[in-house]
Amino acid sequence: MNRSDVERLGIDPKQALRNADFYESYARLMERDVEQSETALMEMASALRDAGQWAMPVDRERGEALLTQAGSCWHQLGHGFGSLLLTAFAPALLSPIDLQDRLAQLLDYLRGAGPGSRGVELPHALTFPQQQVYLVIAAACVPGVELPEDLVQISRWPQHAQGVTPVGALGTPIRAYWRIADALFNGNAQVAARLVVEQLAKQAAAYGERIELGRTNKWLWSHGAAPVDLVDLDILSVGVSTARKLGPNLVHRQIVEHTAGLPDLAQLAMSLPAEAIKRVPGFDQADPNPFDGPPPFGLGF
Amino acid sequence: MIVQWCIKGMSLDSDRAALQILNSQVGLMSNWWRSVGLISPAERQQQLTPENLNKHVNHFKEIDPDTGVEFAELSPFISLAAGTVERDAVARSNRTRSALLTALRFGTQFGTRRTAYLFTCWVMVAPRPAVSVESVAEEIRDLNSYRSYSAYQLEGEVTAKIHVPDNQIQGCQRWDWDQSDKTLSCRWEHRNPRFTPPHTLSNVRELIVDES
Repeated sequence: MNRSDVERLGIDPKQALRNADFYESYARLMERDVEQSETALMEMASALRDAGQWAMPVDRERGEALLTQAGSCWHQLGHGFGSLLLTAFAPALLSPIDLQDRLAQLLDYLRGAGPGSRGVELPHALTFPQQQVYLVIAAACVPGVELPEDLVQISRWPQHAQGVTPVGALGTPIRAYWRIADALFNGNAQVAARLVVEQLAKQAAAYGERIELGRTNKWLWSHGAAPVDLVDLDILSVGVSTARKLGPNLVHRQIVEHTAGLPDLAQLAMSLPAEAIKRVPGFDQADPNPFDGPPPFGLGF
Repeated sequence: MIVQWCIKGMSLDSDRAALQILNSQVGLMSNWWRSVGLISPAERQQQLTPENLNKHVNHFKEIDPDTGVEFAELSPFISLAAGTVERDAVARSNRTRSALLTALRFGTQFGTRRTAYLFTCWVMVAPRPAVSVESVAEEIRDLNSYRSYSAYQLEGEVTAKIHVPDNQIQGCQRWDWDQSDKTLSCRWEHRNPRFTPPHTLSNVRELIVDES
């Protein structure tokens, strides 16, 4: 996704940058009170997230920097979502030991031992299934994190493997995320990459439908004020995190393969992780299957 | 019934225009009332329909085929930002939707203006939809086209009807946005001397202690 795509979607790229600047300004406003107020930290994290997702298509470097800051805030709040953003964009900021400890606390909690069984209170956010699965996916992608043997079994508990709790901006049923986690525990990288990208492609199709809904109110849409994420951060961060774990070219090839037949808007959703993966260390630029997003498309905007 | 604190973010040409609203003792008027001038109780009732509410929420800036002008210009509804930052909702969604942020977004016309005027007020919200009842505001979350997008979209947005009375407005703030510095700051605040706090509506009966 780039400036031209944003324009074709009916949003002036200058408005996208304006939105990024505005949300970043709000984050700075909230930053003044974060020492005294958890609410201020949540607002700062959310504003940085919004700033980052608006910046990504028009200024990728800035977008990733903002999402890294958002990730740090969310991670500080105990949100697995923050851990996942950092895994994707700034894994060096994550301590494998800290991540492992969080995972261990979470799994004790899931096994019924209670939120404070290790003498350390589980962050409130991690009592929520959405944050739990984000943390599991992040931990599965960070080198140096030892995954407990029963994690596969836990991922297949009915409330996980068949769960319908909505997750992320697309409201994807949680079972999809646990399937991604399960795939990442798989020893075969090729199989894992295929399973993860297949799932992300389904989410990308849902993204296309949401964008169409978001356009209903043209005034809000053109100002970037419709409650629709232009960049789906779950597709992006899971895609990039998976590439870091399994190998960037492997995942990139799977994206190329699974995106080819998708509608244009779905291809757009997948184009961002595809682009970001090219900057993951180890990506071979000579890969014979480049994917640069959908060809210029007309969407009747 | 719920007493809901809200913020109306407005883009106005000057401080004078903002203070005029505060000092006029009329309150916040809907565009319909402002356009028409004189309104009758019967006319007010005719405006408060589910169809008009849908137009307000989903087709605000489109041409209304009934009037030939943008629906916004004649809307009897007043959008108010009422989002709160609630820890559990944030844990489910990874985002907040505070009234302050929403009001600033609308007040600066999504960053195209450098100054926003924020009016803090309270309204009554009914526990169920009641479009035709003028005295209660509507929660619009379930009425917009995005309702299937996420269970947590647009929490905390309400629309008042026809007008928000003067004594329900606590005050006005001017906020300035500097895009190049990326700073938002409150320049001034004026309180409404006629403001009636909502606790006067409280159904809590205090004990009367006889000290004789």
